[in-house]
This record gives sequence, structure tokens and C-alpha cells, in this order.
Amino acid sequence: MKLLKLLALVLVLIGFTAPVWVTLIASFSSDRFFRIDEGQISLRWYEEFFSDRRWFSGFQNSVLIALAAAVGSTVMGLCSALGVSGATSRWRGIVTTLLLLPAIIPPTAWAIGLLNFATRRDWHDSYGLLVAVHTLVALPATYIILRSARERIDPTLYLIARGFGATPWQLFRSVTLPLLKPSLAAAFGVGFVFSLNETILTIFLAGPNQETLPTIIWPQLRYSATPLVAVASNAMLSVAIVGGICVMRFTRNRI
Amino acid sequence: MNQTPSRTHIGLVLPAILLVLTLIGWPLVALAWVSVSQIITVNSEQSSFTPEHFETILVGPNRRFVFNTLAFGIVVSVATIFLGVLLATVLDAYSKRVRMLAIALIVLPKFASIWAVLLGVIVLASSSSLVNRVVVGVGIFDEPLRLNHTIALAFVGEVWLLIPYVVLLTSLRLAEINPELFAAARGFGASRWQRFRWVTWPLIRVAVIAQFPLVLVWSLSAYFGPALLGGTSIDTLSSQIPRDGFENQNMPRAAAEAMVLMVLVGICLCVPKMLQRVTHNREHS
Repeated sequence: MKLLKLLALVLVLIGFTAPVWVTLIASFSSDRFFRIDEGQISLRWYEEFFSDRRWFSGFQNSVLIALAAAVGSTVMGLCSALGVSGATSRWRGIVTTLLLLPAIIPPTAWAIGLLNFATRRDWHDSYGLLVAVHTLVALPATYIILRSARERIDPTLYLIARGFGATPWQLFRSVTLPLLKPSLAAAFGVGFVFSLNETILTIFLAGPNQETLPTIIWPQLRYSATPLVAVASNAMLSVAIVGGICVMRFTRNRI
Repeated sequence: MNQTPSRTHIGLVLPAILLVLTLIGWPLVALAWVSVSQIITVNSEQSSFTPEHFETILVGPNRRFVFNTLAFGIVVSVATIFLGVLLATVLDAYSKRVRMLAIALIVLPKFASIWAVLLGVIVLASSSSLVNRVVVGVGIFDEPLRLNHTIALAFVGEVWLLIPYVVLLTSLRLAEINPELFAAARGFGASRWQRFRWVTWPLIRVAVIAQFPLVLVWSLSAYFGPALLGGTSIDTLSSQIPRDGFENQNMPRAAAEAMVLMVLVGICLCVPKMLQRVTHNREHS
């Protein structure tokens, strides 16, 4: 009975994660129609992906923008989490509502607004704007993670440190920062993944020089997908998983 | 003791608030102006007030976009909540280790690469996919099902993309329930269904209801499902905005569609809060 229960769960999970397995298998297809005939596993599309300048520079852009956005959103999330700690609930409510807006606003409405706004000010086609927008996309998640971590810190620690004459900077440096390190790593990882997957805003705002993987994948997926798209999706999945494992290792060592 | 925000509090929060106001507030106010302007393309400078774009969307031929958006949003969110809660409840019956692994398998692919999921759904739905081969091979249908670019696939794909959130949030709530309550219910001879009906559901109901507006907002704003998986079979506001903004070069209409979508999302978020406040006031009066 126990084995049957486990088997049922395995079947449900295979069904549920089927699209990801299918994409993984499709990337080893030898032809462009995602078919794998007997014994015809091929690395052809992987070779093409890493030798094609457009795909590879898209991959590089995606990772670089995601790194910058993860740093930006983690710093801003930390500052905002500290800025609402100990303040009135009204202040916390206003700040939280504003910072959660990027997660709630329909992305297409926001993107068309930004496109109209950036075109009129000649901000269009710049890395700066893309990084700023990606930072905003990741901000709600990093803020929530860091705010809840900050709220979990025992206030007595601050009382004791203040009793020993610690200045606000020393409090931050010696109490808050060491205790928040695991959450900072988690926020960075989440910010990185959110930025890596951001598509709609990037499609609207990126110029030909700032193409990221999603902006190259999108038209192909809409009109004529090849296994290159599968390779690109798997590259993003791998980067996200490796990043996640690094963050988990760092977090575990610090707890 | 909570205090009024000091200069330090405000200074710390200011960069994030300024970024939000510059890249969300300002562009949306500018977009609201464009939506009631008579300019035709992005580069055009002349403008005058006109409600015509809103009329086209709300009472004119394009009102089907609003209807489609609402219908798609409601069906997807109801299905997502139902299936997500069901899956989370089923997973709750397993040991902690198995449960964590299962939740990770459900949640991680979506967060790690949305493209892997979308491409997988497209390949699975293609006429030469394993699903179709099985369906034809077993003899359920004579020829492969045409699933790509259909409303059905748009629904399925969007549910697939949203379900991890519901599973994650419901599982977190389920993990907080005291297991002694189930032991007590079992002691009284309660069946599995009775345990769910009288113990689990009352304890997770508030969390499930609280998820609904959020899932509804996300499904109203859904883009990948309708635009990529649904093709031209379903026109929602979200899929129509880029079409009008880019392909038809009609920025005012795209702006008006964006404004209507924002209002729908605003209503979905505000109405439950207002209802909650009214109920709260009634209970305390």
C-alpha cells in the first residue's frame, strides 16, 4: 500500500514536471523537429548554441544583467527592510504597498507605459534602464525575504549592544549584518533568478545591443522553434540551479 | 515600541521609492494621458483629449477583449486554486522529506526557467508528440489532436505556470497545522474526507481565500498563455496591448487597454479588502 502510494506520487510528479523533461530531451534531438529516433542523441544544438555569437552574447547579457539586478535589488531590499523596521505600521504599509507594485502591475501595461516613457526621453536602448527595470522586478521578493528576516532578529540583542555603547553603525555591522547574511544570500539568489527569467519588459525595452536570451527565444518560440530554444532554456535552467545550489551551500554554512 | 519614521528610516527607503515612482508611477501617469489623447503614433507630437479609445474597448467592438480577459482570468484562477489546494493536501499525507522533494520538483522548474516549461508544453501538444502518439495508438482518436494555438492549451499552460505558487503557499499553511488535531480526529474514527472537511479545510480556508485575488490578478495579466499557447484563438487585453502598440502602431489604444487592465486588477485587489473590512466592522459592532 505504501509502495503504491509512492508510485502514485512519482507518476503525478513525472506528469507535472513533464514539460521540463521534454525540453531537456528535445535539446538532444538530431533534427530541427524535436524528434529523437533510435540511438540518435546529438550534441549538435549545444555546439551551435555556444558557437553562435548571437545566442552566446544573449546568454552573457542575461547573466550580466541578472547579476547587476540581483546586487541592486538585494541592496535596495536590505535598505528598505531596515527603513521600515521599528517604524509605525502605517509607514510600513505605505512602503510595502509601493515596493510590491512591480509584482502586481500587469507586465504588458507596465511595459507599454515604460516604452512610451523611455522613447520620449531617449532612455530606450540602454543597459542602465534594463538593469533598473530588472532591479524593480526582483525588488518585491528581496524586500519580503529581508524584511521577514530582519523582523525575526531578537530585539534584546540590540538592547544589549546599545547598553555596551554601540553606535547605530556598529549595531548594523556587528548585529544586523551577520544575522542577515543567510537571508542576503537567499535574496541575491532569488533576485538573480527573477531577473534571469524576466521577459515581457525586456522584449519591449531592449535594443539590438541588449538582447537577452528570453528576447531571442521569444520570437523563435512563437513562430519556428528549433532545439536551440531547448538548449537556451536548459542553459537558463542550469544557471539558475547552479546559482541556487551555491546560495544553499552558503546559507547552510552560515546558519 | 514603534515610532514615527525618522530621517534615517526615510533615507533608507528613499532610493527604492524613487525608483518605483520614476519607473512605474511616472510612466503610468504618462500612459494615462496618452490613453485619452488623439495622437496616432509614438513619435507624433500633437494631441487633444478624446474618450474614443475607452469607448471602443468598453462599449465598442473591442469589448470582447475585456470579456475574454475576465473569463480567462476567472476560469484559470478557479482551476489553479482547486488543483493547487488538492495537490498540496495530497502531498501533506507524505513524510516531510518526500513532501519537500515533491514541492521542490513542482516549484523549481517554474522559477528556474519559465521557457523550459513553455517549450515543453508546446512540444507535448504538437501533433507528433508522445501524448498524441498514445492517443492515436490506443485508438481513442483516429488522428492526432490539434492542441497548439487553442484556448484549451492557453488555459492548461497558464494553470501550469500559476499552480506552483498555490502549492507552495498552501503547503506552508498546512505545515503549520498541529498534527495532534489529525490524531484526535482519527481517534474519533473520522474518515480521510471527514478529517479534511472538519480539520484541514477550516484551518486553511482563510489562506486559500487570501490567495484567490492574487492568483486572479496574475491570471488577468497573463501574457504567455494567451499570446504564445493560445495563438489567435483568444484575445485578452494583455495579449492585445503589444499587438496594438507595436503591430498596429496605435499607442493611444494600447494605452487605453493598459488602463482598463489596470482598473480590473485594482478592483480585484481592492474589493476583497473592502469586504474584509466591512465583515470586520460588522463583527466588532
